[in-house]
Amino acid sequence: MDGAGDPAPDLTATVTAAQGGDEEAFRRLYRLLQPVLVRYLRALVGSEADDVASEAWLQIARDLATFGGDGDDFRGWTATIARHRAMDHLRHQRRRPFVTIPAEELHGLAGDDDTAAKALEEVGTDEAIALIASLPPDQAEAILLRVVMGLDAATTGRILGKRAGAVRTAAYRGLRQLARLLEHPRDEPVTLPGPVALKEVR
Amino acid sequence: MSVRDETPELDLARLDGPGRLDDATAERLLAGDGGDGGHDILAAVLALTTAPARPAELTGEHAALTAFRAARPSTAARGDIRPAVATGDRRAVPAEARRVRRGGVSRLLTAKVGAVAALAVLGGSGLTLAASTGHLPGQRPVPAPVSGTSVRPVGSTGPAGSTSGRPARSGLPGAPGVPRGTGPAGTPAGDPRGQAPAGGQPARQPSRAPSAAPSPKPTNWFPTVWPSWLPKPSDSPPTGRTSPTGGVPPPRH
Repeated sequence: MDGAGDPAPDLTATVTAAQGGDEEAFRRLYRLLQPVLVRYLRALVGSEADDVASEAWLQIARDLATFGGDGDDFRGWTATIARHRAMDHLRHQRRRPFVTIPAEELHGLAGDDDTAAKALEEVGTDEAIALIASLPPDQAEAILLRVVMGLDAATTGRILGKRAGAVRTAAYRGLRQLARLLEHPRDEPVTLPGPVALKEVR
Repeated sequence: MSVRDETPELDLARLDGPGRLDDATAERLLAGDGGDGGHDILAAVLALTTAPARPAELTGEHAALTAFRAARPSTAARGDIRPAVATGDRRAVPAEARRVRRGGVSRLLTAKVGAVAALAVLGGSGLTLAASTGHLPGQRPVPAPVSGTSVRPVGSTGPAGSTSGRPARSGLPGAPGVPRGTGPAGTPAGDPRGQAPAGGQPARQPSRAPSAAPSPKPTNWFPTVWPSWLPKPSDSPPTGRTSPTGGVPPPRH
């Protein structure tokens, strides 16, 4: 299946074909990786994710010939390019990375189970990304690179300039926080962003 | 390619209460293997982040493929270039691809040429004569168009036309845009519309008109007021008509 459904199909042969000039191979790479890149970028630059992803693809296409490695390396390579473009973008805009959600717009799930269920009913991909993006930046990025981009801890660490162990710790911490938000809403009042608030950050 | 428009929903029937998330479980969830139970909601949320692509997420495909082609001259030359044209992303469209736009671009250029010719006529300047004879100052009259020779820009407008006239090499952002109002300058040689009287070098626009009304009147004349955008007679070597002598080298094909 194309798209982001399978987080980590082997891309090695496709990358090699694209490097040899196979346009269809490049199209496959785009369709597989663009959705995950843009979701990762959404957590970094919010609504500018599409533009930044486009910039990233221009660079990917231009520098494809210089890439050396297998399919997993290619994932990491594209994520690195996307991240650099995002950081350039933020630097240019003098903004801090990551979308911040105003506290007053957060929907609490501190009510009964019906409230939690009602909120989760509305949850889709964008909301899931925004929920992760609401974590502390190092945790959010570690989770997104590993889950969305399908990278291992070592590759994620290289992208973030951290050791694999630090990436694991950050990701575990982030997941625990998410689990608390999702599974014990009564313990964590006013923390889970609701769909209405999240529309602001798409 | 399975692209789904709708956003996948959580299965609310799987809401149940898990215990504390240990490292091993967290690692499994990160690796996309969350079927162990106990953290179904979290697993479901993570799964949403890798849901199938939605069409809105793939809108940049044409631009990306255009960049891919532009980075590879070989594929730009032989590949199907229509998708590139459809993007409208002129920066990234190689010259080869731009030619396919000929329909639209040439219509525009034709209109511009027509407008310039009309202005010249209305102005009543010597340009009118130039337009009707195909001769311009400083040039000897040339009786017939040279088949297969496109009119090329000389002097100031040279780069735009000469670049767009040859196959794209490394098109990407550096590639110049479509020639601005240079008439047939951007038309590839061999295109019938590019066959203009060979004598029409310094000013391309007027020289397109003569194909309709070629007049054999070979006169030397000079307008009383020299248009600033026209090269002066001295700028244009009398021999520079069908050969690149004194002008920009012709596009290589």
